[in-house]
Amino acid sequence: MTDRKREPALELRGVTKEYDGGVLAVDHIDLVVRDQEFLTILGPSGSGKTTTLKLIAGFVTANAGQIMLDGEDVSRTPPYKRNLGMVFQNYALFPHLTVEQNLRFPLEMRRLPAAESSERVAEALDLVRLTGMGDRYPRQLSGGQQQRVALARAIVYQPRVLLMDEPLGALDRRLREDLQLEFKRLHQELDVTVIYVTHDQEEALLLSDRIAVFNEGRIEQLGSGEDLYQWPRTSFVGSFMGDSNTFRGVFEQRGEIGSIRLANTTLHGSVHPDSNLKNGESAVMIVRPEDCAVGHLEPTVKTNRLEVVVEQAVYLGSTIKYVVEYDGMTLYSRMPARSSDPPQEPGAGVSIQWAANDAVIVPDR
Amino acid sequence: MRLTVTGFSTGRALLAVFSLLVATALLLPIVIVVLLSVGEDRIMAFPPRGFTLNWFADAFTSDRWRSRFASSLQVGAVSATAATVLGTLTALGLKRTKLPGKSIIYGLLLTPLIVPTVTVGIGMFFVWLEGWSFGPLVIGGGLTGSLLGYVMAHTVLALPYPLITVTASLMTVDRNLELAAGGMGASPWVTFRRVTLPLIMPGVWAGFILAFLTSWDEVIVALYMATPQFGTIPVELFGQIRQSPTPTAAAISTMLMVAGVVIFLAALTFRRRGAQQ
Repeated sequence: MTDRKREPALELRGVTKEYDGGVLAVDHIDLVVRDQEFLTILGPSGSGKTTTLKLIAGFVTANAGQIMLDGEDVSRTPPYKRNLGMVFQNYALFPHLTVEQNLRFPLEMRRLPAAESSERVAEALDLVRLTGMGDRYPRQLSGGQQQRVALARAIVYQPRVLLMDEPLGALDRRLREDLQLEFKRLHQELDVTVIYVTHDQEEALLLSDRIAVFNEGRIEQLGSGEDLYQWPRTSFVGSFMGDSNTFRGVFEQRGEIGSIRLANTTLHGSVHPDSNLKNGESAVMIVRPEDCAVGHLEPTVKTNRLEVVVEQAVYLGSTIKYVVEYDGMTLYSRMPARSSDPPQEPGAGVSIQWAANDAVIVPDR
Repeated sequence: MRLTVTGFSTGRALLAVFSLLVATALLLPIVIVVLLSVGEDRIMAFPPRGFTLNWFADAFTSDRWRSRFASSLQVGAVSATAATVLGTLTALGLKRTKLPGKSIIYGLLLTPLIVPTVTVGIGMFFVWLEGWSFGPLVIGGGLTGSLLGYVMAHTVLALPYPLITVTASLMTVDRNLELAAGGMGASPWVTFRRVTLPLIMPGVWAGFILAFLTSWDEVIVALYMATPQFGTIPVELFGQIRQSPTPTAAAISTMLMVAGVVIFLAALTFRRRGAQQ
């Protein structure tokens, strides 16, 4: 089974979709989804992530490019011949059918014998912990239960790839967290290939083997959650994947460490290996709030340091979040809260500092 | 609760009197027809004298009324079915495709509701009678006084109703349900039969009943199309009352009314059952 894991289950090659009126929703996307992988398409609304999923499902036809499923071109194959599973944000359960009839629907389409169908339906209901709910109608279930039914219906016929379009978007936070864990468990138990669309970066980090960050119809970066968080390749990825402090300036290379020149100071940081930056180009430095310390600090070597004024100090239990101001810019810091050092008061003049190798420098685009 | 406290105000008394007057004006003609149908006079007269159910028996035994009833039922059932099938398919076509000029097509199909039936009727009469002639080629013609002629005419007149009700039903059907069905392996036809159609069924039935009542009740075009051999109940009623107003006509009217009420109640129960689902 693990050998199969390296095989591509699905491959997009130069897939492009332009809607009527010249809106380029998806712009030459290349993407390889490995077998049994949980891949998340993450991006803001209008980034083309849902269109990409619809292209894979076959609900929308691409203007250019190929969609390969197990090495076979399915670009022109109608949805009902693609053998994919789909979970929608609004569940899309058939309201005139019971839970069991909903689950039987895809099996009937595959002309499975009734006995085997019953077995599979019971198994699927069991997997999503809805045993005994088969006779209910969707409207008699809560939102969370309905989404579990939708999930059961999407896996009961063992589709080649499971597509999920913001399946938790309509649920409240608590339920969302429960179901996220359930999705993760099911993915591990069923060895199914999942393509998951969301705009929630925490959800993406929690669930995914890899994440493709979408912006304006293109993939900005593809990698593990850790890659994207620690080594964002663009300022967009840096700001979309969690909180970040960003500085715009002129790039200069000095050995392994790069630097960017601001109006009154120069900051040092690691240069992203893919960046191809040249001296004198405009660049962005990205640094995470948790890598920034605030207080009356001694200057150290290889450390960036700025004199700032505290605007707000928010106590969050285990951490303290500082909002500080530097030369008209708002910067953030998140530090472990220790009872020994009392938080800085608003208005206090302090310094903020971070290690050069905690900061990433990327091209400004 | 506050209404009962102020229940005896002059405003409310006036409202009650006015409502009663309106109700009387609406119901009185109906009551009179029912009374006329049980009077003993050979010619309709008001107030009726005596009481008899002979006129009802007459309506049932008369060959002429029986044939008119059969014609009405045939024309109504066939034209309502045709209008419902066409209306449903048209609604689907207009709601689920990227056809250009959809609103224009929709508007054109609703014109039978707006254009005076007399006007439509004249046009239909000539076309049905003479046929469409393209030079030496003539299509149709000689359709007056035939079941096919009536059905075609009433299908056109009734088409807007199923079109409207099915379109309204389709708007409540989530497009994702159809996409989901497709994703699970259902072809477009299976998706329609298993998902879309069951969900729009209340609209389809409502459209069918309205279409049937349109045909059942239609006089103007039916008058143009009628021949002594073939006609519908409203045409026969109209003709008889003008020549010799026998109470049989009133008996027929009474029965039509009861039938109408029954159909309407049936439609209502059906809708309620649909809403519960």
